[in-house]
Amino acid sequence: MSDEPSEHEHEARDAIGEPRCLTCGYVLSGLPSPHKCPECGRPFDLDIASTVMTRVPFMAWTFWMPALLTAVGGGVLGSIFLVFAFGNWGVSVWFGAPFAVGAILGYRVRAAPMLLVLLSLVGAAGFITGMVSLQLAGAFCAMALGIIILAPVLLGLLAGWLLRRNLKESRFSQRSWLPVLLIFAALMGLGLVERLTDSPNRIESVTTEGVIAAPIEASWDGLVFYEEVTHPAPWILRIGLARPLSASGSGRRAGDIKKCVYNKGHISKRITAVNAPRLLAFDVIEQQIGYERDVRLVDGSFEFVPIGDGLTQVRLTTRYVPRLSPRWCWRPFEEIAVHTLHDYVIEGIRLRAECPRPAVIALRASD
Amino acid sequence: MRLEISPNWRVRAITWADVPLPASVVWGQMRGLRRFLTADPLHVGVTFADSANEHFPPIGGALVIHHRMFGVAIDRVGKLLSWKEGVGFAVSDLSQRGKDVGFPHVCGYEAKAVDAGHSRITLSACGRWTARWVPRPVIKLWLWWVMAETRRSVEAEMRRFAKWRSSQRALVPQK
Repeated sequence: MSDEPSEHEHEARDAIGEPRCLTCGYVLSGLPSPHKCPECGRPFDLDIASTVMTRVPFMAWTFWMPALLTAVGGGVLGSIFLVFAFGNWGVSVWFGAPFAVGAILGYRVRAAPMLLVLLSLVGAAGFITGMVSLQLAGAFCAMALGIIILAPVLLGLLAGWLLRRNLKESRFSQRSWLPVLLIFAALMGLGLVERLTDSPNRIESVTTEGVIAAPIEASWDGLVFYEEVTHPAPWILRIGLARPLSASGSGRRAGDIKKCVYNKGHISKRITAVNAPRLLAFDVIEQQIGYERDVRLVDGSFEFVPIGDGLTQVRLTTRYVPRLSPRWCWRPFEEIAVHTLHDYVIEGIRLRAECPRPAVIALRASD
Repeated sequence: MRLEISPNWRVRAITWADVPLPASVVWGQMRGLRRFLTADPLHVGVTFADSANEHFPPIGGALVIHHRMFGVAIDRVGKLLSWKEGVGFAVSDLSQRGKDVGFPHVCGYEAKAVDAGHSRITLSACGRWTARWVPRPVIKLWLWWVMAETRRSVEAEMRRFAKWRSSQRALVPQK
């Protein structure tokens, strides 16, 4: 390392030293003083600090925009690399990359703390937008990410800010760019460690219960004879998650294959157990609903239990292999998603059970 | 851009930066010598040695031009050779080892009005190439890069200033 002042020290010295006209930014060095600015006529006195400015005129956005673009672009590109090169969908992508976004903003942007926090929120939004644009996350995931990445981005911001404070007075000549590269290198290192230590996630199960104001047989019919879902879906299913639209194929005997069509694809189920009107269990043999990177559905079941007074309790269970980690972070959001979907299905069963259509009654009679 | 290397190794490189600012405004920025000289990609800073004014040397005043290339820091020396207020200036850029080694040259900068709102800055480097073992095409390529980068840097700096100025225009009184 050279003992000479670093590039930034020169810049800093220049930036604070050159006297300029307060109005038009004209460099006043070497002019007779006191005098008037040759460009705009404003009086100045080089011996009176309040009559000149010593900062280089600049547009504020050119000050923070490069750092923001570097942070968001680097975070998204880093995530792409982690996902496609390392196959990571864990800590490095969801915590490491947002941390890097925050760290670069904290390191490269010199601004008031409140402004830095605001900028980090913009950075987080940019990161999420990038992930959604590249179809690495859907609308629901984007909402979840909005919560998940907030802490890493802010922690990264703090780390970057502290790093900046520590290096500010140093003579380290490469400090403008090398720490930024090291932040990205650390992200890749984290991705590599995660890949080497990764272990498959265990199967998880989500169960949702509901009560139908109909006898158990009618409730059963509401499940096995449904073909089209016509009731309105909750907003979360409409904007972000896959929702069932219709079903084809029989689901009344073990071995039957039923194809459930969703708005984003379909799922094929092989019926594995039928104990009418109490239990219907199935394996998922084909899944194409747009969440293949997030979960792999394994199997599920519908259980009906009479609870008296013509009421039936229905219990839906879905088992899946999650692909997103860390599990403590993603599990709550997956449970919200599956419960919402279950509630929608139970609502469909309830509507069909409580108001059976003639076609269903006829099918039931022929069965 | 014009690049010439004569048979006796005299080098003359000139390029022009067109900027969307009146010449008087451009000059107002160019006269920030310490900052303007760092438009050259090899110059990272300038110190005015033996000058009472840390921002403005007298004509003939000594300069130390801090260079950095591929991470290597080198200080070269020079003088403010000429200064024509409102027009331009020239500085020499010499090796500390002497005037006959390390590409001694003069960097010149001049602003000229093109019209009321535009001007052209002439950037030049004239000197003698001393590392004669370097093939001429390589020297030309090297000079081309330095001059092109300088022009790009000057244009970018002036564009930035033009944006700042237009954002401040409401505040700037008419002369």
